Amino acid sequence: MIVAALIAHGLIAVALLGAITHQALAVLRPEPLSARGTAFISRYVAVDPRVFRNAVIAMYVASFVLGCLLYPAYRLDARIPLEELQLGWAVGLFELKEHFGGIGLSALPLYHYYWSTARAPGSGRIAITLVLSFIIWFDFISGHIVNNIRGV
Amino acid sequence: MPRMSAAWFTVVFGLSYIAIFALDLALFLYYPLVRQFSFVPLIDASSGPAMHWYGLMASAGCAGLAASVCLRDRWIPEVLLQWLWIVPVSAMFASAFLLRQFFA
Repeated sequence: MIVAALIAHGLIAVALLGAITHQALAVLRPEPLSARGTAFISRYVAVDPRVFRNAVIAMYVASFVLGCLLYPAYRLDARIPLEELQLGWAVGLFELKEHFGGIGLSALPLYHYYWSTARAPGSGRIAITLVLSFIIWFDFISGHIVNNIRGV
Repeated sequence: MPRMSAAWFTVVFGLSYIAIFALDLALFLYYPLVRQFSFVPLIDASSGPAMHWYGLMASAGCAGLAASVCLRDRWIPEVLLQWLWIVPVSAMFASAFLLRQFFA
């Protein structure tokens, strides 16, 4: 059960990484680009970033819920051995991951607001997308590092 | 169902999260070894380690929910609207600072 949840957590995180990265690059493009261009990057960023909003929120929540279910197993089966190995930085890295993940969850309503409201400024929309991108990339990489040292 | 303010939820959650984390005001603790939630620390050593994070999230979530019900998006000054994302970023920096002992 734990292994299945961990695999699902990882797979959803990969899809979420793809969606938020695609959205972040699309929103950062300097000017509208034609999708008819042949260059991969031109075609990659020539998407409407608004279409990613609901998918990002749904996948973030799904990944977060699975992470919450896995957390007790980590606390008992991984963190205690990490402490015994005196790998404080690995414990701290996972602590950062969990706090950033929770803060990211709380940022989703603002993210939805920025991407749904005409009154919302474009700079705020870009910033919250980049903040979520950072959190998702950080959580993905730090989760992998800690799981590679001592998995659940 | 009352109309809720998404922006206020994020702002108040982030600000209260910093205070709750710094002061360790978790609403409850979870003991994974015995699979038990508790509002007070269990003194029995056989209970195993306590997890605070669920309680931290619940505490900050309650504050954010209360604010999102009581406050309105339109009350946010136009000039501040583009800077609200600074709150979660500040909460991240504060969390990193509070965890600095792990990296010393």
